[in-house]
Amino acid sequence: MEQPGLYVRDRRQRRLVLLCVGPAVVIFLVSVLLISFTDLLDGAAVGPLSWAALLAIGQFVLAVFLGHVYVSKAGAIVDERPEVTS
Amino acid sequence: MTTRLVVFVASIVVLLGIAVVASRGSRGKEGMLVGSGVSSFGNGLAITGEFASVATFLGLVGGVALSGFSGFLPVLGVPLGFLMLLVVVAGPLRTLGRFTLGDMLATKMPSRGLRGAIGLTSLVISLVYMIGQFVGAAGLVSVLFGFDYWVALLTIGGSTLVLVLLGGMSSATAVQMTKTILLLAASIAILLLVLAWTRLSPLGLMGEARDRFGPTATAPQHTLSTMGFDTFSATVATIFGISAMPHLLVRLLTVRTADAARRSSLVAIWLMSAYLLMMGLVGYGASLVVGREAVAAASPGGTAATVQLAGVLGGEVFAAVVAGLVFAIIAAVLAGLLVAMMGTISHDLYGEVLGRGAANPQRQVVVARVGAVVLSLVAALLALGARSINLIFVGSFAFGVAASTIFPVVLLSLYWRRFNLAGALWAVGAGLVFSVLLLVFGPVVSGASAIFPFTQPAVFTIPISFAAAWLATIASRRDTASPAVPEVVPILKKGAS
Repeated sequence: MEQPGLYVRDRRQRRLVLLCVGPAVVIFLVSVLLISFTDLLDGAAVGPLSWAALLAIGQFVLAVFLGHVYVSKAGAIVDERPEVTS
Repeated sequence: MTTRLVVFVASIVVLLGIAVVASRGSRGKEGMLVGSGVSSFGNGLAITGEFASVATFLGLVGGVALSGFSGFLPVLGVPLGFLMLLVVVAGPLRTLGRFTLGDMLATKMPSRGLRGAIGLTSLVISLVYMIGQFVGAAGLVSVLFGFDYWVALLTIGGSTLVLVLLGGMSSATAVQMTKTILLLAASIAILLLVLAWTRLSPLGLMGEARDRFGPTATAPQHTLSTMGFDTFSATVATIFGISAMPHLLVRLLTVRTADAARRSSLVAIWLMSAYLLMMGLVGYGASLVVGREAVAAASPGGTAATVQLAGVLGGEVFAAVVAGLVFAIIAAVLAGLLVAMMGTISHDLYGEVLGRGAANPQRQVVVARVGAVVLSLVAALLALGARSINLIFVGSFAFGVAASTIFPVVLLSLYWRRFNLAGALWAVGAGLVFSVLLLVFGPVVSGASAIFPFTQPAVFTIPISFAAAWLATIASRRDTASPAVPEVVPILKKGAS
C-alpha cells in the first residue's frame, strides 16, 4: 500500500540523500575507528599535522562540501509544500 | 571580580532587553512556540547557538589545552551530525511540521500513542540535557563571578525563565542569534590575539605545541582513558543525536519554507565548522600562553582555560567580557531547551494527546508558560542535588537517547514504506528502555560492580532500536498508516517532474 506524506518515494531524492550521507558516514566511522583503536594515523602528514589531525579537518571540509551539493540539488528534486495551513 | 560583577549584571540586562524587543509582535501559540519567522542566515546563527554551549567554548579549549589532539576528538562527529540534520530531517520537518516533530510523524502515523511516546521521550531527553547544562552553568558562574552554587543556579534559572516567558521562541531566537554573533566575534578575537602574542601562524601554533609537549600534541594519545570504545560510542551518539535533539529540531520550524530550513542548516554547518576549528587552535594557544600546569590547576577539565587565556591576552576587562559571554551562552542554550519543551507539553501532550487536537490555543499558551515554570524548577532542583555528576557524560547520554529513540523513527518513516505504528512505538520503547538499563548496569551508576563495561551505550542501543522497529513492523499485520495527509496544502513540484 502506498504511504502518504512522509515517505520519500522519489528515487532521485533517495539517491541524492544516499550520495550525500552514505559515503560520509562510512569515511567518518572508519576514520574514527582507525584514530581510536590503531596507530596507523599517528605519523606526520603535513608539517606538524598528523594523518589523524588531517583526517579530522577533512571531516569538516567534507561536511561543508556535501552540504552545498545537497542544497544545490535538493531544490530541483525535493517535493515542496510551502506551509502546513492550520 | 568587581569588573566581572558589573559585566555579569550588564549581560543579564542586555539579554532581557533583547528578549523584550524581540517579543513585540510575537503573540499567541504560534509566536510562543515557533516565533514569527526568521531568515535562513538568522536561523543558521540560532541553530549554531543551540549547539555551541559552554561544552565547546570552555570544554573543547580546555581539552585541547590539556590533551592536545585527543581533546578535539569529542567534537569530531559534529559536522557529520549537522549534515545528517540538513539532508535527512530539515526539508521534511519544515514541510510537514508546524510546531513539533510530532506533527511531521503524524502525517504518516496519526496516533496519539506515538505522539505521546515521542513527546515524553523528547521531554526526558531535554530534561537530562538541561540538568547537565544547569549543573555546568552554575558551577562555572560560581567560579567566574564568586557566587554560591545555589545563588548561581537561581540567577541562571530565573533569568532564563523570564527571557522565555517574555517572548517564547521569538525572544529565544533573538538571544540565540546575538549570542552566536558575540561568540564568533570573541573566538576570532581570542585567536587573533593568540597568533599576535605567539607571532605564529595557525600551523606554527600546532608545531610549537608539538615541539613543547611531544608528538601527542597533534596526534592521538592512545593511553588516555577517554580514547577507545566510549569515545567512539559518544561520537556515534553525536552524529545521529543531532538530527533528533528536540531543541535543534524546533529551530527548523522557525523558518517559512523547506528550502529556508535546508539553507539555515547549511549556514549552521559552515559556522559550526569554522567555530570548532578555531576553538581547537585557541586550545593550543591556551597550552602555550597560559601553560598546561596553570590550566590544570585552575580546573580539573581545563574549563577555565578560555577565561584564563583571555585574562593573559587582554587583561581583566577582556576576561570579564568573556565571562559575561559564558553567561549569555548558558542562558541562550537553556532558553532554547525550555522553548522546545514548552512546545512538547502544550502542543503534543496537552493539545494533541489530551485535547485530541481540539484544545483552545490560548489555553495551550497558558499550559506552555506553566510548563516552563514547572520544568525550570524541576531541572534546577535536580541540578541542586546532582552537583557532582559527570557533565560530559550527561550531555552525551542525552544525545545517545535521542539517537536511539527519535532518530530511527524519523529515518524509517522517511525511507521505509512498510514502516508502521507498531515499529515506531517499539523503536522508541526499546531505545529508551535499553539506554536506561545499560546506564543502570554500566560504570556510571553501578561503579566497579558494573555488568556492562561501557559508559556510553549508544553503539548498542541504536542498532537495538532499529532491530525492534524492523521486527515489530514485519510482525504486525495491521497497516496503521494514514490514508490521507491532513491539513497540508497541495504539493508544488519544483524543477523537473
